Amino acid sequence: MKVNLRSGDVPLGLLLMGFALAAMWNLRELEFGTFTRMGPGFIPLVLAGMLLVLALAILIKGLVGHDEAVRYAFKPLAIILAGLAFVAVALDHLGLVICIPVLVIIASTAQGRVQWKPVLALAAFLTAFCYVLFILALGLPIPAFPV
Amino acid sequence: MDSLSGLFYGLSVAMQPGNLLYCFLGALIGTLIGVLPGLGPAATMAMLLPITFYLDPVAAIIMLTGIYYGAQYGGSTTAILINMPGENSSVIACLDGYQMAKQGRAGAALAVAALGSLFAGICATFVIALFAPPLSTMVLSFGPTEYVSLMLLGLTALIVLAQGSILRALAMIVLGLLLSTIGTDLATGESRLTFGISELYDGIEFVPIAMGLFAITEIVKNLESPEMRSIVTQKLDRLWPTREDFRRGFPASARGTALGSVLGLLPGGGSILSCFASYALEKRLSRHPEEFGKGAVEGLAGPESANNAGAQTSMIPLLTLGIPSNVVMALVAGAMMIQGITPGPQILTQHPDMFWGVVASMLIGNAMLVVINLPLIQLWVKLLKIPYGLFYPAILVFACIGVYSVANSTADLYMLIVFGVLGYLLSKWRCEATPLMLAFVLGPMIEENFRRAMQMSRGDATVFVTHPISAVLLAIAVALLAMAVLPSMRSRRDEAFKEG
Repeated sequence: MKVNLRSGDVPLGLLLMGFALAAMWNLRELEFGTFTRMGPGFIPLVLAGMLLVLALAILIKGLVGHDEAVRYAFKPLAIILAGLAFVAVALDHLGLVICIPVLVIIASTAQGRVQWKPVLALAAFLTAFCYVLFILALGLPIPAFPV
Repeated sequence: MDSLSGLFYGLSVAMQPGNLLYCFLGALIGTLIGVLPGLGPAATMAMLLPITFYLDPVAAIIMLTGIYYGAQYGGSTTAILINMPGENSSVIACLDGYQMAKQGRAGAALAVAALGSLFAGICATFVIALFAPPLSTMVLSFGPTEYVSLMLLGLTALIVLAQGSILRALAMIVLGLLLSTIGTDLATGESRLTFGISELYDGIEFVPIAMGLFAITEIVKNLESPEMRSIVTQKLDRLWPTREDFRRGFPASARGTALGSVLGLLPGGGSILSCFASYALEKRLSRHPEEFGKGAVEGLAGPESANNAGAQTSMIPLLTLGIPSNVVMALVAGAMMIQGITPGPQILTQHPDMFWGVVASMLIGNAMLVVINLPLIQLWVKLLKIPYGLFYPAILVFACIGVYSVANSTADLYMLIVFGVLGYLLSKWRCEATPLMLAFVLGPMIEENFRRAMQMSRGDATVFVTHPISAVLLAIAVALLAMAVLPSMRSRRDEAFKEG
């Protein structure tokens, strides 16, 4: 029997198993309760147990099966997430007018060859558009300028 | 209020200038995102959700539903003209619609799709008006036991209808349920699964999960496999189908409407399942099955009607049971709750203006959509020339603003990142995000009702089979599951999803 480590089942099973075990560890001190009076830990613990069983089944299926190997493209994912992470960190301090153009510029590099002229034009347009629509017109309480 | 007077009352609500405007806006936005591939109704509605807080409740829901059925119209335009589905539910329109366009009958194909959708939209509105009121009266007598069984039935249907592995669909549902228990337990006030992170005490917000799993994942997947967009621009001089098209298309459209109206009710059903099933049905019934895939009018009219009918009747479970049957309806439920309205059978009696206003707005919205789509078709085609490279950064910007606005906190932006990664990995591992999302929405309702049911029965779990309604619901669930697991049904199910 050949063990297949590159199929999607193995990492999926491991990830779900990790979730289930982390949940069980976190719930260990919560009151479980009885059927009549269920404690706060009852339902989550049952669900975590079910998830653990399912994760094991998926893992075993992956180890013995012969699924195709999965190909990942982590570069665009990492770039998009980096852009979002910048907004998450900076929005409260730098405001929309800085965060929007930076996000647009970072995210644009995810497509390989970048044509900077239209990208910069888009950044400027989106910044103005969002400022007018969300801050001026709708009055959403989003930080607009650096503080 | 009976259905007819209800509809007239609804028309008077929907005709108010403000509501008319938002109905038009919804139809317009729906068409726009329908035409543009890479942005679906779920992601769009998630972005707009925080803004609906500033709208009148009726106007907000009218706009959101308009986006959903509007996207069904727009999606077929792209499918017919450039053989690329603008929406998942338009995959089928690529088969015969694009072939018609290649034969120089693009105008006729577009008209058949639009008129079929209009017919389906009108019929589905009447279906809702006729069946939703008696259903909500019945549901009002449901206790917690019945509710638990009903939701379990819903989740079972999700597993059966999910594409691919049943094991994975089940795992996604359990994961969604588990995620929904994060936060403070309402009954005891104890915090669960928060791992000491104070931002998790109120649980995870719905919008960042939906945006992460759908919008972010979709963008990354589009970026890793760039599509070639070749627009076959041809003159659209003749926008009217021939008499032969009508003769063959109309019965198909009627069958598609009926099928879509029923399948739209199923959890996880809605528009996508409806059009696949309709295509399979038309191919089986046709005397010329060999024409399918080569420009058969029936193969376009049936599924196009079915997806629009399904999109609309998927409102019924939400309006009568308070249970969203797909992700889009979960967002509509979210919008209602932002406005302080609990989705469920009491909407009809407590908010008749919302119920009938939204239902009647579908009549108006469908009529608007034909006008938005057919004469303005050239304008929509021009939009497709915008390269994706300029399109996805804009989606990201709106996604950030939408997610931040839910609670005015950057914590939700971190959540967006987490679920963006999770969504990408899950999609790589061929897991569907829809069962996870719906389980997440239904989770708190299931837990609350389950605990209440057990308290009322003093810990006796047999109540679920001794209460007649609950027993019937569970029996249906078991039958569905058995059907999905049996090998003979399995192969047929896979076949239905493969091509239709």
